[in-house]
Amino acid sequence: MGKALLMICVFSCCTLTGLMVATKLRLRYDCLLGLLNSLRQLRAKMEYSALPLFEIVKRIGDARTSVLWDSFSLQLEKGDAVAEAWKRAVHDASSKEEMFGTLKEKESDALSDFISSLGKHDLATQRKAINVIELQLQECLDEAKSELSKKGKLYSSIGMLCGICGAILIW
Amino acid sequence: MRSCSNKGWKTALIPYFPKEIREKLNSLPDDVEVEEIRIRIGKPIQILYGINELIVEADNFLVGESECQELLDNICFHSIYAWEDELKNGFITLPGGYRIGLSGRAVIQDGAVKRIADITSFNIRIARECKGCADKVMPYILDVDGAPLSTLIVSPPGFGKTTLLRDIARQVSDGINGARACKVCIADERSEIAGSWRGIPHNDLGLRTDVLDSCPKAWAMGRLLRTMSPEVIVTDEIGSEPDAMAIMDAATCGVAVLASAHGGSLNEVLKRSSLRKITNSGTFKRYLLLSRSRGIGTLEQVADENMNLLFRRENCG
Repeated sequence: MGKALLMICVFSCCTLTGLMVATKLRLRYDCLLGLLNSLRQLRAKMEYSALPLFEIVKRIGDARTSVLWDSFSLQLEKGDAVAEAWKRAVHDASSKEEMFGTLKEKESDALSDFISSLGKHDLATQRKAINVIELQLQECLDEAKSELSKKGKLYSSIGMLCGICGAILIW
Repeated sequence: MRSCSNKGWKTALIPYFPKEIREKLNSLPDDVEVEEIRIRIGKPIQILYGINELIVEADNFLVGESECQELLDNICFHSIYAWEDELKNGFITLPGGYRIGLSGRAVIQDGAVKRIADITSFNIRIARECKGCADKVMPYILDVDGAPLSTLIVSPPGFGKTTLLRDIARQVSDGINGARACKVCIADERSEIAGSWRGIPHNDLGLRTDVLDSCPKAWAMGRLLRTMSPEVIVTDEIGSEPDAMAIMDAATCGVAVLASAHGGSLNEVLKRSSLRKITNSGTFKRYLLLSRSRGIGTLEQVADENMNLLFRRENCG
């Protein structure tokens, strides 16, 4: 009876670990996709609404990324400088929504660099900056997509296989 | 009953300043009636009040480049892109009608000023709402039925033209002090009369007042005339040919125009080429000259359309 329970535990743990690693890849993909869509909204709102930054970022994002943008808007409204507000917003959002913690360092850095220049230039320069970050994020998104399709299933299968092997060994 | 106040400026403006400047301004006594705060790169802060000035030299503090940049970021709400037109025109208006004049390096593109960059000087004008300051002038600018006559208020900058214009608009709109209640429309190019922030006026302009904010005066007057059926149009700091044309257009449609213009005397206004046509046409039925000889907005002279004096302050030079 004890052996059977142990086998189930080992199988479950390994499978779950595999699934979690695969989920991280999915989350990173979702996060990049959400951020890319938000940047497109940001550009449109900047061009057509002429609202201040804190108002614009309040109005962009989807159900999941709005945690980040809302927090960013709140920090800006409090009077924080843009770079500082972004840092706090990312910290805040990462604690509420797991996907923000899945970004790679180069992605986070590129975003931070872009954000710190936000609102400091005229519309034409701002548009160019958004185009550049969009290209960068698109590349990251493509990479995340191929990683997800190649490794996502692999990690969950490996997890399950490891679980089966472990169970056989215990048996 | 006259009640003037600019006491709220500290609460409204201080959050925009960098920490060092904020501390210096916070230490100013509350009873100082500040009119302007001048910030210049490499120079101490200058505070203007009445005919006096105060150079803030505590701790040998000089305004640095980083302070100017931070101040600009703050007054633009970290959104330079949203204030491009204002930066091109050299001013930004904050909520409450506080106008900040800017100067620095002009960026020229295709022969026209694109914007002012590398901003090195800020002139923060403290807006004042002074209810009742128009009480004295009302009898001169109303006809026998209490309808307002087209009036031009003249004075050098900072002498209270906008404050007076705002109170006249309020009194005419509410129909008080002998005025017949009228539909008033304000063409507020610099958001100073109404103190609008995102289109919502923050100053009391009366019950029957509509404001077209942040839009060139001449265009705004034309639109208001065609769409809002005004009885009175109010506008500030006229001076260009299109302004004059728009005012004459409004006057010929039976609308009274209340406006202001820079000038040291009524004769100076008559000499300005852009305003000569309008003064010669008899569009304005009243001219008011303000000074600060007995405080901001002292009424010096009132003249009719033929420049006959209807009022002259005693001891007026």
